[in-house]
Amino acid sequence: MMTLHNCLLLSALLFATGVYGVVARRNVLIMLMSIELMLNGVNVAFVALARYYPRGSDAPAGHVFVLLTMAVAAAEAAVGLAIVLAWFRHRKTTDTDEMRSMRW
Amino acid sequence: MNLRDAFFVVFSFLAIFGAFLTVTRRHPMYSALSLILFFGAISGVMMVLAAPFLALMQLMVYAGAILVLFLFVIMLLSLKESELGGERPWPLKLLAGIGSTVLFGLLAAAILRAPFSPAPPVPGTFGSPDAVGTVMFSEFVLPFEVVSVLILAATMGAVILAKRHLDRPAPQADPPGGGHHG
Repeated sequence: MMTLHNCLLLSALLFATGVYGVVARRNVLIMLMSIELMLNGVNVAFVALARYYPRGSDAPAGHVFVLLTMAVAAAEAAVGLAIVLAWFRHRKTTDTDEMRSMRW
Repeated sequence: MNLRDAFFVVFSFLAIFGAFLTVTRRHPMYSALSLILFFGAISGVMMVLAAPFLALMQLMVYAGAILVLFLFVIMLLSLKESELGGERPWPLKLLAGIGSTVLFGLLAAAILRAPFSPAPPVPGTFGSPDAVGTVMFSEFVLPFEVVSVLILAATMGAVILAKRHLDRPAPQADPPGGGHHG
């Protein structure tokens, strides 16, 4: 059934899945994808709340936030993948545990 | 259960399935392919939630741009088994699973406790490009402009990171007959 509870539960479950991916995996590409999972989970929450609590007639503020989130996600993916490429060119690995020298 | 509910359930389970596949596959290529399923299902959820414009933008931006960027990088790297990196030992994975389950449990407890009202009827133009654009360019024009600055910064950062030699200027013109090997 499509209720706001279920939409928000779906959003929370997707976010938790993304958290698991970031924490449990060591491949930097999969960690970046897990961040996309988390951002999408939040987007679902925005869209659901915009649907169930519309302010006024057809002025969805939540939809604008989702668009801004998408722009941020695109920028994050571009910079993150550029870092991955630059790192892989030197060290030939995508293992985050071997990226310790990037800590400083 | 009407048609809208049925579509919501189907798309939700597809999204959850794709998300689980994404975080559990060994090779990033399989993760990226599972991510296609996930993004498509999220687009369907947005369509059911009366956001047709966002559903199309989800397909265009995520499945069309970000995912292609991921696939492009993965194919460019063409990772061998030794370059994939190790896996965390299973106790740590179990711990991470328990931790994220607890996080979900806390969020679910907070969500289920909240008294939400049922869905009010919305006009047919709700979530159309017209409506979203009107709000975006009137009320939220400042965040919109800030995002343009952010994207400019991200573009410049990606270009600088992708350049091989920062100290050497890019060759303006190769000498005739001799190729430049950067």
